[in-house]
Amino acid sequence: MKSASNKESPLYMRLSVNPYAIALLALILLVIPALASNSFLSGKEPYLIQRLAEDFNEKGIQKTDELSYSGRVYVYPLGTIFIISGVERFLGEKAFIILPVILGALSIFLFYLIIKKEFSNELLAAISSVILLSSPSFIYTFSSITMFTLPFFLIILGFYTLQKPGLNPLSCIIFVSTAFFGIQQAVISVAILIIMYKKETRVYHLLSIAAIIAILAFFYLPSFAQYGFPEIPDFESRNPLFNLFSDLGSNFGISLFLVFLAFFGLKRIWKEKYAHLRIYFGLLAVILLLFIGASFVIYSALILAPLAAAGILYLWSSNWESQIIKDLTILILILGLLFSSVSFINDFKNIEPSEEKINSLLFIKENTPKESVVLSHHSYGIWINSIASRKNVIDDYQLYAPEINQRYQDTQEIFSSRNLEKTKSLLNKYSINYIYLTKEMKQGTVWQSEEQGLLFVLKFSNQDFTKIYDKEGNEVWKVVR
Amino acid sequence: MKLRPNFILALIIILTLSFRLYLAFSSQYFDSDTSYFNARVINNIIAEKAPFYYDQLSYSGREIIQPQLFHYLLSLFSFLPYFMKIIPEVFIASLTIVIYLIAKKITKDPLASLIAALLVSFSPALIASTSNQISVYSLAIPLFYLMILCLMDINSDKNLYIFIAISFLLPLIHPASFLFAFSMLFYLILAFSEPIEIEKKARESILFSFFLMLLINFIIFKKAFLSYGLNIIWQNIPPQLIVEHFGAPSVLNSLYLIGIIPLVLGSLGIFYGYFKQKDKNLAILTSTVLTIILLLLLRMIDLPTGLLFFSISLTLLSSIYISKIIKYIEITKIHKLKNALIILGICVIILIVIIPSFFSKTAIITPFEISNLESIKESSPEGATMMAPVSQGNIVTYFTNMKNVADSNFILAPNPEQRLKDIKTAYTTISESKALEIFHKYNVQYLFISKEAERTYGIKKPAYLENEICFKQRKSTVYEIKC
Repeated sequence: MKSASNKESPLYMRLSVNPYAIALLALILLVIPALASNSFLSGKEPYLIQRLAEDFNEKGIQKTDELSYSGRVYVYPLGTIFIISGVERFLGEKAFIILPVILGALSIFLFYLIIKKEFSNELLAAISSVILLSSPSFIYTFSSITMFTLPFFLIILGFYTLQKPGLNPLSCIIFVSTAFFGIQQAVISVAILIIMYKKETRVYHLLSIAAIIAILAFFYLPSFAQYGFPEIPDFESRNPLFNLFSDLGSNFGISLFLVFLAFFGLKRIWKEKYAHLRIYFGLLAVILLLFIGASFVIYSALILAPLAAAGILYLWSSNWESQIIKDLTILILILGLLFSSVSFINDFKNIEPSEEKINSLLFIKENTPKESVVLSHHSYGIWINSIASRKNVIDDYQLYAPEINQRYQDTQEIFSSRNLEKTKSLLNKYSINYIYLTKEMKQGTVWQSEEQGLLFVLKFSNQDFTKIYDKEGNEVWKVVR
Repeated sequence: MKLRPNFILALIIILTLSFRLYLAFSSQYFDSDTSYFNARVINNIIAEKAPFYYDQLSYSGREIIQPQLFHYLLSLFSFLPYFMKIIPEVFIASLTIVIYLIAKKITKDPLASLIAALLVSFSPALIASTSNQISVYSLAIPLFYLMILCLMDINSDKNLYIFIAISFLLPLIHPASFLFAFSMLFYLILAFSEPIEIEKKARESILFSFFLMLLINFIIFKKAFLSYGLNIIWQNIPPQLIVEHFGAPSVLNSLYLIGIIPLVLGSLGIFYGYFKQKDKNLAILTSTVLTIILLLLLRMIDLPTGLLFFSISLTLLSSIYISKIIKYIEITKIHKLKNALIILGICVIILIVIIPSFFSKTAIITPFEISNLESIKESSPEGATMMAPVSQGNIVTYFTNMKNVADSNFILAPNPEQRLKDIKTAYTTISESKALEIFHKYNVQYLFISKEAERTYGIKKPAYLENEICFKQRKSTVYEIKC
C-alpha cells in the first residue's frame, strides 16, 4: 500500500491568527466554570484568600493566624493577600471572579506572544495558547482566585519582558516580586532566570536571584529560626498520580493526553538536539519539581503546551503508512485534550462547598461563641475558618502548621476510638467545643459504618455531646463540659 | 478420503456450539449471578430504548457505569426465542474460527491449528466463564483475538479496517480493551529490546488503538476515575472479597482451568517463539501472556479474567509445539501410525480437557430456590427489599423484582463494605434485635435463606427466625420480616 504522504517537506499552512481572538476565547472559557458552579466561590483557596484579605484590611500584617490550627505562624504569601485586599475594596466579592478571568485572558495573550517570538511560528503559538487555555490546571488557576492566579500571570509577564532586551530590568523586578507570592512561585522564577540565562544580562539575572533569595529569607527565616524545617505531613494516603492528572481526579492537574502529545513534540524537537536545550532543561526542572510538590504541575502546562502543539504539528506533517490511522490518531489525541477540559468544567458544578455545607457552616458562625474550636476532617478546616469564622484543629494549609502529624494522629484517634474517656481527653487537649460532621465523612472519608468510632460515642453519650444541627447529612455536635 | 481442514473446522464449530447449547439448555436458568444483571440491562434497553444508567433495585438505588454495546447487540435479537441463551453461545463459538486462523498464521500447519481450535473451544476456563451465562466475554474475547489476528497481517486493507472498527467497539463492550492496549504496548517494548521487525503500519495501528481505547474508557468510566483514580482497577471491591478476586491462584485450580497440555506446550511455545524463532506474530502472543502474568502478579487484573485470557493465549502458543510434534512424527519410523496417534491425542484431549470442562461449571442457585423467589414476586408489595448473600443479589432482584441490599457490581455502589458486613451479621447473629436493626436500616422486608447463604456464612438458618411473630416463613427459603 502506498504511503499516506510522499512529501518530504512539512505541510504548509497559511494561517493568520489574531491573538486578541484567543484572548477573547480565554475570557469566555474562564467565565463558564463560575457560571456552572453551585456557589459563588468554589473550592478552598478563594475562601482562604477572602478571609486573609479581610483580616489584612482590618488588622494589617499579622504574626499569627488565630483561626487556623487554633493559632499558627502566619506564613501565607503576602503578595496575593495584599493585592486582593486592595481590589476587593473597589470591586467587592466580584473581584474573586473578575480579576482572575482578566488575568487569565492577559496571560494567554502574553503566552501567545512569547511562543511566537521564541519559535517564530504563529501557528505553533496559536495552538500552544489554545492548549494552555483548555488545560484543566489553567482553568483552575484563572476561573476563580487562587494562590497561583497572580504569580502565574506575573511569571508569564516576566518571561515576556525578558524576551525584550530593553525591558530586562522590568522583567527582573517582576520575577523578584513573585517571591512575595510564595516559595513555589519563587522557585519557578529562579528556574526561569537560570534557564534563560544570557551573558549580556547576567547581572540582572544574578541580582534577581539574589533578591528573590533575600526576600524568601526575610519572610521564612524567622519561622525557620524558631521552628526549624517545617514538619512534613506523612499522612497523605492518596496516590501522587491523583494530584498530577485531572483525568484521575486532580483539582488542578493536567490532561494525560497533553503528556502524550508533548512526548511527540519532544520527539520532534529532539531531531534538532542542541537547538532546544532550554526546553529540555525546563522539562527536567518541571519533572524534578513535581517530586517536591504536586502543585508545581500548574506550571508544567507552560512547557507542555508548546511541546504538545509541536507534537500535533509533527504528527500532522510526518509520513504515515496509513492516512486514515494518521487522521484518526490526531483526532483522538485532540479529543482527549478537549475531553479533559470539558470534563473538568462540567465537574465544577459539583465542587464544594455545596449550599448545604455553607448553610451548616453559617449555622456554626451564628450559633456558637466566637472563640470556639471546631473539630472536623482536615479537608473542611479552611471552610470552618473562612465561612464559620471559627478556629479549627487541622486544615490543608500545612506549611509550618503546629505539630501537624501529631494533630492528624490525634484527630484520627478521636474519629476511630469508641472509648469515651480517651476521646474526651483528646477533645480537651485541643479545647474542642464543637464537632462538625458531613455526609461524606460518614460515607467513606472517615467512617464506613454508622457506629464506627466517634459516631458510636456521639450516639450513646448524650450527657457529653448534644446535637445542635442536623440537616442534609451535615451535623454539628456540641461538646458538653 | 482425506478430510479438508475447513470441513473439520466446521465440524469443530458445530461440535462446540452443540456442546455449549446442550449445557445452556440443560438448565432453565443461567449459571452466574452477573448473567441476571445483564439480563435486566437487556430488558431495560428493550423496554426503554435507552442505556441503563440508574438501577432502582441494585443496592436499593445506585448509578450504573458499564459499557453496554454488548447488551444493545443482544437486544437486537429479542425477536428470537431464548435469544439470551443462544446468541452468547453463537458469539463465543466464533472464537473457534479466530483461533484456527491465528494458529494457522503462526504454524502454517492446518492440523496443529485445528487441534489448538479444539483445545480453546473446550477450555475449562472458557467454559466456566461463559457457558450458560449472559457473559460479556462471549463477545469481548472473540473480538480481542480478532484484533490480534488483524494485527498479524495489518498490511491488508481489509484487516486494517476491521482492526480500526474493533478498536472502537471493544472498549464499548468490555474494559478488557485495556488488556489489549497494554499487551500491545508491551509488544512494542519487547520488539524494541529484541531484533524483531514490526511494520510501521502495525506500530501506527497499535498507537492509535491505545489512545482510542484509553479515551473511550476515560469517557465511560469518568465518574469512577474521579471517585477512585487508579484504584478503579480494584473496582471498589470490599476488602472481604478482594482476596477472592485478586488473590494468588491455587495451583491445582489453575491447572484444572488452564489444562495441562496448553500449560506445558504453551510454555515451550513461548520459549521457542520468543527466544529462538523471534517471530513477530509469536511475539504478539507472548507479550499478551507476559502482560497477563505481570498484571496478575501486581493484582491489577482479577483472577478469573486473568486465567481466562492466559489459558487461551497459552493454548495458541501450544500450537507451535503441537505442529513440531506432528512434523517430528512424520519423519520418524512411526509415521505410518500418524493418524492413529492423532486420534489418540484427541482422546487424551477429550480426557484431560473436554471432560473437565463439562464439570467446570457450578450452579449458583438451585431451581427450587428460584421457584420460591418467583412465587414471592406475585405477592410482594412494590418497592420491597430482599436481603440475600452478595453473590446472589442480582439473581434475587431479577426473579423477584425487589431491591437488594448488595450485589456483585461494586463500582459506585454505596458503602459496599459496610453492607457486606451488615449482611454477614444479619445471617450469623443470634440476636434478634441486632438482626432487626439491620433489616430496618436497609428497609428489608424479606430474607433469602439459600444453600449459597449456608455455604458462605456457615449457617443453616439464623436462630431468630424461630420467632414466628416477627418472621413469617413465606416459602421454605424466604422469610418475611413482620416486625
